[in-house]
Amino acid sequence: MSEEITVGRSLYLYCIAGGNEKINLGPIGIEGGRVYSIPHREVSAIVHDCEARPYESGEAEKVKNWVMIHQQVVDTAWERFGTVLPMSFDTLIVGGEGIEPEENLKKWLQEDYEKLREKFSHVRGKAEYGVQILWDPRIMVDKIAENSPEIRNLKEEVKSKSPGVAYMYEQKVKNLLRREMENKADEYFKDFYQRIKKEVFDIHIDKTKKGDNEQLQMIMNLSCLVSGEKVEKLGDVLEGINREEGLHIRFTGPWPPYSFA
Amino acid sequence: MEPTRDSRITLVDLLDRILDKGLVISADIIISVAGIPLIGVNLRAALAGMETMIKYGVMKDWDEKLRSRAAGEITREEIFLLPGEKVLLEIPGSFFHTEGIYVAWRYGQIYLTDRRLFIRHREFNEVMFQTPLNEITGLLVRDGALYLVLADGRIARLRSPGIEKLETAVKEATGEAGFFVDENIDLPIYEGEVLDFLSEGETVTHRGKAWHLVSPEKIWKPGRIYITNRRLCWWYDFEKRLAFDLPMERVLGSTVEVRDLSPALKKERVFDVIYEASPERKIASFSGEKMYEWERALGRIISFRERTETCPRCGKTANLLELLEKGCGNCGWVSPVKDRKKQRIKIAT
Repeated sequence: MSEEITVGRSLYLYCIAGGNEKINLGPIGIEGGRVYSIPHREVSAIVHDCEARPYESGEAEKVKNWVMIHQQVVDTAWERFGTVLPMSFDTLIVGGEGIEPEENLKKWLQEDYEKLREKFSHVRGKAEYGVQILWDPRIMVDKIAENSPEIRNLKEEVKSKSPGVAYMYEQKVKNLLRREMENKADEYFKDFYQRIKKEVFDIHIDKTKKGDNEQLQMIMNLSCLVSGEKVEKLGDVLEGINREEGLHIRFTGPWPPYSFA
Repeated sequence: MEPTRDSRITLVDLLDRILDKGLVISADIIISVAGIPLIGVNLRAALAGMETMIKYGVMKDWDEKLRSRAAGEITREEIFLLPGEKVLLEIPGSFFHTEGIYVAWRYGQIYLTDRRLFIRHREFNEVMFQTPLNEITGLLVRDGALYLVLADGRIARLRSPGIEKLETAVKEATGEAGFFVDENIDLPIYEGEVLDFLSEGETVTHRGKAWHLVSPEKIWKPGRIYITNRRLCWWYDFEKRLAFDLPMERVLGSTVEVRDLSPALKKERVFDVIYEASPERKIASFSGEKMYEWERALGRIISFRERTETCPRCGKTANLLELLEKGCGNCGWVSPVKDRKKQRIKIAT
């Protein structure tokens, strides 16, 4: 009988919260799971009970919904406890032979306790913000072509050339433009990074992504850990960048500190 | 400027955080160690990634195709083309497959369509390599091979008896679609290496950079290590020659261990090859990246070399390699592959 209880049970873990309050948050979890806290010393795990099987589905809407709920639960815990270290989606704590998932969880909390405390003190009173800087390559190409004497000269020379030679010149211009674009992106990166860094507590450089916007190209993707009173200043810096022609900013948050956990 | 949490704008951003990031937990108490990242990938495919793939036309209607295939509605031959995709050129050819230290030409059918270039293994119905046309940023024909520089910096190499035809067709197709393809590309040094030490019929199967402990000075020197179908050898960069050359028959075994190479280079992975140097055994040491892969590769060759098999005609047990190379000493059976080669030579003369 005891086997029936222990086999196949697990705890879906949303986050570790700072504080040891024992609370029930009600059926706000994924698939209506009842979310509650398991305190251990000065921290608490925010969990719901479920079968030891990951949440999986090929249906985008369903998955999107799960992920949003995961986020809402972390948010709720964040509000209640003030500080959280969020887990990524589908983190399930399992038991072992004759070991309950709770036991495993507490063992881990105990072993990593000092590390967790360090992390808590790192993120306390701060939130994560996503900063993505995108540019419009068409506008940038025009700008660069205007400002580069070399390109201007080449373009001028093309006019007097035969079609074959002109074609070669055009290829040359294209190559040059591409290099200049890369240089410009580098230059922007260094400049913006310095300006943003001054206003944030910690910063993570993420991979730039392509494809979610037809016209714009991402040149920077940052996750910033920012303390409450600094957010406005960061907003001002970004405002300044956003005002430049051809540049666009996506400023998202506040998020729980996913990138700094 | 104010940050936003509007889910219409931030969904992708949030998904990245929730699926890829978060607190890391010791793997032995979470569900299925290897499963977790896989699930992340799986979910991502259900979400953000799909759009990109559909944009490139690669995954379009894939799901429906699989379903209708299961229902037997379309034939196997049609499956690999997308709805509305037009084949511009189809020729036999091979693709230079490199993964880690593994190197091989793989044969198949090259297809150029109005959307992509791919090479497919017909029997396995496997696409060995493919790229959307708009990701080809450079191209060059050298020594009978077509080199493609892809948007992410990778270089793909294709060979075909009709390589010029393929080159022209790719240029036309990319030009037609309005993509710019650079023809003045620099290939990495690695591609330009001289392999003139290879004898006739010898091919490289594995290669990579490695340091080698050169005797008698006992100094670590930089170079490249090769396994061919006949031997294991090491090319010394500075003198541009093979400084170590070992026929495969003399290799006895290999191990990898971590040890200090010098006061400055500590805890490096060392790949030790033990070999017969009558009257005694000797050890050749290499160090560098992917040493475990080298050990596995060599291990596989050795175990293959020692494998026995029964002759398909008379059932006599014999060494597998000997059986394949020389035929059966008992009944005179010869591998059909060898037989065909012989016949071809006869016709040629």
